[in-house]
Amino acid sequence: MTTATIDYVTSDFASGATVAPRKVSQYVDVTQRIRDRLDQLRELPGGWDHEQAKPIDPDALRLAWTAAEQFLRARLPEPELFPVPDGGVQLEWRAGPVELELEIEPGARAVVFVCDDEQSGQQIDGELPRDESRFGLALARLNAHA
Amino acid sequence: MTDLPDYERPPVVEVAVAVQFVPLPQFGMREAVAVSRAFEGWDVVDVLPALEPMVEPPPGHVVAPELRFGLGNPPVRVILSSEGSHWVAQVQQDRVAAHERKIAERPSFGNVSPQLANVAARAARALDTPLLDEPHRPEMVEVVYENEILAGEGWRDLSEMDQVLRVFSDAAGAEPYEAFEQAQIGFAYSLIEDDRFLGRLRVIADPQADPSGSQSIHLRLISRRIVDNHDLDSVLEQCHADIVLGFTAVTTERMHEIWGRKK
Repeated sequence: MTTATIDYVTSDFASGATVAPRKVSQYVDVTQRIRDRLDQLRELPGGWDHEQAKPIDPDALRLAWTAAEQFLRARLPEPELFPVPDGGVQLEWRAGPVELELEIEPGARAVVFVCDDEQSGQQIDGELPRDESRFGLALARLNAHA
Repeated sequence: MTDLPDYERPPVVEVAVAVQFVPLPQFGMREAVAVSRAFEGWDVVDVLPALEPMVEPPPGHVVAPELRFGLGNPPVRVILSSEGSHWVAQVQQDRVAAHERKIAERPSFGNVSPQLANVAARAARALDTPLLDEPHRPEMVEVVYENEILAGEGWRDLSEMDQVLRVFSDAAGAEPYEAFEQAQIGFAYSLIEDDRFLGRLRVIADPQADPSGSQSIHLRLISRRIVDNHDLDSVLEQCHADIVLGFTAVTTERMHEIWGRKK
């Protein structure tokens, strides 16, 4: 899977200026919360939904961590993480009218995304890496309200 | 330096002091880990690509595009934060920096300058080499003041940036373009003494709007000075003076009153 990254364009008017990420405490706290949440998901037994749900797949968890960390570095909001009955992991972001869901299938075989923009009434969806440019558009929508 | 202007409620939210020195032979993950271990009680916030070297060409000279050639992993910088994020430290192959962020009290150069010495000393111990001394003598220093100037205090919205910064005029253009929605601007002054080029003061103003809709101007002042064979502390003091004098010079008297100018 290719995870989209966002590079913030900075002016070269003061090239090399000594700047540091603004919300560092938030970053540290958020990454710890995500780790804790992934640990919780890792420990879910089979049938955690009181039906036929499978334990969460380690590869999906690993990819969820990588994705969440990259998005945090790009200063997107903190995602919520949910287990999926087939053993996958779902990441969800909400910023203003935009909601983005990213579902990682077991074995990290496939990653699908859906982005709903209530403001425009549009939905952007697809599968990665095939629809990378559409995913970039979804991230830009989310980021505009973050 | 005692005659510098001062304010009761300045809009400063962060002060950073940095020194660029003759580079270490390398600074990769191994060195980043070593430095992070020397900052007991601090958190490693991130390890990011190293900041570009600071270069200040004399007036009229254009900086050539930087060419980087290297084998192996590119150099990194380690970013550390004290508990509560009041302090941030950065260390890379050719630079150490200390940042003080506004939590309750306003940050000040007087606090940050000693903290920089502390950061350099810890990094030097971790890397087992002197920093800010031969063979890694200081080459250039940088002091950065970050200010957040909130709308509603002397100006209403981003079309009134002229109420805050003298560089704007009240009518930015002829009708129908007399009032802009927002603006972004950067300007620089060469620092020259006895016909010698010493560095540069930059002023950068960016509009900002948070998701709640409130607007502000992010005003960054950056002073860089070449150390040459001068005393490091005195060059840093001069950078501080550049910024305080520059801030007062580029902002309006009306805003000085709002910020409670004392002298």
